[in-house]
Amino acid sequence: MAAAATLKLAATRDELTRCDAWFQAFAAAHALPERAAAEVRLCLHELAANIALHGSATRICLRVVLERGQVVITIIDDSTPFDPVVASTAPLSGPLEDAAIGGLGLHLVHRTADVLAYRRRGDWNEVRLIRRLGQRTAEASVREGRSAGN
Amino acid sequence: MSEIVLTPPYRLDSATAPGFEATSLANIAGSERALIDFSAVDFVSSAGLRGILMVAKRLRSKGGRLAVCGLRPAVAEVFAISGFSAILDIHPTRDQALAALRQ
Repeated sequence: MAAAATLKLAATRDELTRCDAWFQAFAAAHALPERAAAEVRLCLHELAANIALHGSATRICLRVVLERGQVVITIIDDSTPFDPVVASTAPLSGPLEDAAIGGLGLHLVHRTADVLAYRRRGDWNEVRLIRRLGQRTAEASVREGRSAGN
Repeated sequence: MSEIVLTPPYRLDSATAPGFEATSLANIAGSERALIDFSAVDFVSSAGLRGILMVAKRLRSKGGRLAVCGLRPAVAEVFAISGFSAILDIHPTRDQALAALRQ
């Protein structure tokens, strides 16, 4: 049977702590594996922080579902269109003096999510993120996520 | 001259990183060597990484050095994926990091 939880947030910095506590409680209640829970926690924070701090959103709706051995997170916000799947990302590189830090948050998301999908629904952005709980291959699937637009 | 030891909050994320960055930059103002001890840190996001990078750059700009230690597995993974593992001086324990800074 699937387990699910939902949370509605104002799109503000202060609400990010509540968002984190909400997911931590879900992960604990359903005994999610430690590494998977940590990665989903990171993705959720990065995506929610992007919306709350950089977009024009006023509201964020979150849903987490645990079913068929995977965690599915859905994030809906009322900001202007923004597709985190195709946004440019980059790790740090080069010497410390030159290191720049743009796009790092979404880089972390792309590297830890198994599937990341985006669609615009009316006045809302909808992002869906899947993290499988079993073993996975090294080529996890940012690529798969990039093609999963529906 | 002694090293400055910085201890980030339990969650170093978008909510707490701006405060950590400001406090850290103030604390290292008179120092050329600093250690960030992560042993009590449960979570680091990209905003936290940004604060760490600012501290590292400030020290480097005045010929100083930064070491970090005590990364829990989830934090170490974020450092690895982000590329921070390649540009920071990372040690398992505070003693090892301090020894490296004093060399």
